[in-house]
This record gives sequence, structure tokens and C-alpha cells, in this order.
Amino acid sequence: MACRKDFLLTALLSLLVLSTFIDNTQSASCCLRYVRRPRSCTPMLGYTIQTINHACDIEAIIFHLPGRFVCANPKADWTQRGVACLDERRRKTTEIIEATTQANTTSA
Amino acid sequence: MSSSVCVVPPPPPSPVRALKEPAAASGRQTVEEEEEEMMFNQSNHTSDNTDYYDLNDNYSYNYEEPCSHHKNQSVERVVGPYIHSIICILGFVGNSLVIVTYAFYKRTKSMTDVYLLNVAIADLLFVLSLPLIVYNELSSWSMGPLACKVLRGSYSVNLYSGMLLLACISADRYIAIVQARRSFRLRSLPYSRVICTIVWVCALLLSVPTFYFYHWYEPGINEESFYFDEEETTPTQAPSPPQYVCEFMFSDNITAWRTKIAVPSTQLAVGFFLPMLIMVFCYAAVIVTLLKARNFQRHKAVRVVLAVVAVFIICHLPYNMMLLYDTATMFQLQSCDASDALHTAKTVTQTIAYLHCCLNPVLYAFVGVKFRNHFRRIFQDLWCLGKRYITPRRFSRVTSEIYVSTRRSVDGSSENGSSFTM
Repeated sequence: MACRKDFLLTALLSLLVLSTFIDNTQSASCCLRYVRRPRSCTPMLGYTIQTINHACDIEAIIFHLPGRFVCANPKADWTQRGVACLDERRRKTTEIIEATTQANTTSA
Repeated sequence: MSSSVCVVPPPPPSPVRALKEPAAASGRQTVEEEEEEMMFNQSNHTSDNTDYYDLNDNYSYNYEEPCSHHKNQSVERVVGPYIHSIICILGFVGNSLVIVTYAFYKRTKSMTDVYLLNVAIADLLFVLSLPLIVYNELSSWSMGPLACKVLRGSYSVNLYSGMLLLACISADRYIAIVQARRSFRLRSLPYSRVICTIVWVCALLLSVPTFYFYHWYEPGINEESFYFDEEETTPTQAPSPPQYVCEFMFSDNITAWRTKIAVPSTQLAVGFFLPMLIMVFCYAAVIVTLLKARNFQRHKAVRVVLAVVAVFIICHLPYNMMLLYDTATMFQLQSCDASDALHTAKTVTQTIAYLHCCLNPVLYAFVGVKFRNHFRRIFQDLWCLGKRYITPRRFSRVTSEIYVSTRRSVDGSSENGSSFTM
């Protein structure tokens, strides 16, 4: 039957069209649990605050370590200390950068 | 994991950003190494005896990383394009045949016709939006912010209208068969159009939160984050093309918490449990009445009613149970594997639920003798149009088909005059 053949052809074509788009699939990754062991702030590179205002359903602090991320409970003491430590470090870094640029401009 | 960590009450309204304030306030001027040493000592007090530099041991609790649902993604890669496209094609063919039949051959005469036409329109809109949603999910929403809102919104509108119209059909059949004396007054054509309008308006109103809170955005951009300038490229985040998502986005925690609970709860209540209760009640009464009646076709009618209810429950119950479980445990801590399994189960059961829109034309429209006769007329007319291009070799087969169809239509007309066509 010609009609059945057409139908099959359409089905196969649409399968092909759709299957070409399946390459770069990515969903938002979320913290679902917290790490139990406290961590020192020394190896940390930074942090991200995960809120429930977006796709994620729990609140968390994501610490960035070399090559990995660690999910921390925002209410835990060590997390708050880690965040404070990183903020302090950032403040100092910007101060140093500002100081050096100022020194450069005055010397120039 | 201990239970004290596992069970966490819903998040408090206090925003996490407050965490940053004490750090900014304390303006101590110490040497960097000293401070880090202090941090190290402070955290050492809180724990028992753990080594902080054991970066290579792989206890699951030791490295809770953000989960990215790999298993579910592999399922979605199969289900998304292949099974969904089959559903789309079947749903498109079935529902457009119903609409074409009503548009050209069968003027909407009864209340049932109006409902069936509206169900077919809702299902057709759904199967038209489904490939666009699948395509966008797989291509990081390349069609932009408007497509995000429109597709998510229309999905919601069609879901609600489809389910509520199925409940209306069951109520209509209940009135026609169980309350037969009142049926002339209650089942008038303008009345049914008013009800359909109300259903569509309700579906639109119930979808307003979806329209309003779904946003097209790049995850990670709006989140509070910083790196040290020189170490910015150290984590595993390679610079990649912008990955957009079409998800809920809120301005504050309370709205987020309320909406994330309210939207799936409404979908469960109005989009599943209400129609299911109406259907079960109405069709149970219909079956009781049919079994009392002395009609030789009653067994077929009972079978059709049972099939309608069974297909509805088989298609929608698994997905709604997953949705219920997901909503109940939404703000609780869970492992990556458990969450992955839940997402996979949701994807699979959702596909089963989608299947319903392909089955509706068969269960509601094509099962009716009158409708089948109209439908056959379409094919006969199409056949007559195409006849001149067909070789005479197949002619004998055509006549036999027409013979069978006319015989069946005679059978159909001998049925009793109930509008509940089987």
C-alpha cells in the first residue's frame, strides 16, 4: 500500500531528524546531599551558592577544589567559616591588585 | 548516612547570602598564612580525627559532588527522540483524523461530539508541542525564551484541558445513561460549548504559574560564585558554548518553595485525581445501569467503558505516583543514584502517560459505530478521488471492502437510539 509506505517513510525521516539533535544534552547539576567531613579552606579556589530559587531543590554551598566540587551544608559551622575565609582571601587579593595598580600609576 | 543528616526540614526563609555578611564585616589585617592556619585549627576542633588533605580517598560521603543525572540522560536519549516521535506521529494521525472527520463529514450534533472534538484538539496541540519540547531539551533550548514559555505553558494547558475534558465525557455519558430523563435538558449543544469554554479557561488559569515562573536562563550565571583570578580555569569547567535551560526561576525563597510545591500538587489534584474520581464514579454507575438493561450490546458497551477507565489508569497512575513521590521528597537530601533512578522512572512513566493521547482517538471516537461510518466515508471519498490513478487490478478488493463497510453500517444503525455510541 502506497499510503502505508509514505507513513513509514515519514516516520523514519522524523526519527532521523530528531536523532541528529541528541548530541549536546546537558541538564543543570545540583547538590543533593552534603559532605559530612569538614574541610579546610586552604585548597579551596572559590565557592558557589546553590539556592532553591532555580532548578535545584536544596540550599548548598559548593566549594571549588582543584579538579572537583564539594557540596556543603550552608548551616554547618565549618561551611560558614570556609565561606568567610574565602571572602577574606578574595578581599585581600583585590586589595593587593588595587595597591599594585595604584603603585604602577603613581610611578608611571 | 545518619538520619540526622538525611532528614532536613523545608528550608527556612533566611537567604544563604547572609552568610557573606560577617566575612565582609570582619576587617582583620593578618598575614594570609596565619589566617589559613587558624582556619585549619578551628575546623580541626569540630571534627574527630580526620586528615584534610586526603584528596584521593573515594568514600561517597567524603565527596558529595553536584549530580548531573547521567543514567537519566542516557534514557532520555533513547526515549526522547525515538519513542516520543512514534507517539507524536501516531497521535498526530489519530487526532487529526478525528478533527477532519468532524470538520468535513460529521457536524457536531451532540454534546459528546463537542467534547470529543475538543479532546482531539487538545491532544493534537500536545503532540505538536511535544517534538518541539524534546528538540529544545536536547539542544539546550536553542529556540529562545519565548519558545520556553509558550511550550511549557501550552504543555500545561493541554494537559489540564485534556484530562478535564475526559472527565466531562464521563459525566456526559453518566447523564445520558444513568440520568436518562434529565439528559434532554442537560445535554444541549450550547450548554456543552459553555462547559468546554470553562474547561479551557480553567486550564489556562491553572497554567498561569507555569507561564510566569518558567524562565530561559543560563545556569550558573545567576548563582553567586567567585574564583581567584589566577586560578579561574583550574576546576573542571571548560569554556563551552552557553547552555540554556528552561526551568523554574524565582526571586525569593518563599515563592520558590511555595511554587515548587503548588505546581505539581495542582497537577496531581486537578490534572489526575479529580478526573480519575469523576471517571470512576460516573463509569461505575454507567456499568451498573448497563448491566441492568436488557440490551444485547451491553457487554460490548461495558467492555468499552472498562477499557476507557483501565487505559486512563494504566497510562496516568504510574507517572502521577512518581510525581507525588518526587513532590513529597523534593526538599529532602538524597543520593545521586536515588535521584537518578527517580528521574529515570519519571521519564519512563511520563512517556507512558504521553501514550494516552494516541489512544484517545481509538478509545473515544473510533470505537463509536457512527463515527466509524463517517470515518469510512472519508476513506471512500478519498478512494473515489484517487481511483482514476489506480490500476483496475485491485478493483475486486475495493468492492469487497465497501461491501463489508456497508454491512457494518447497517449493523450500526440497528443499534438503539442512545447517543452513547459504541
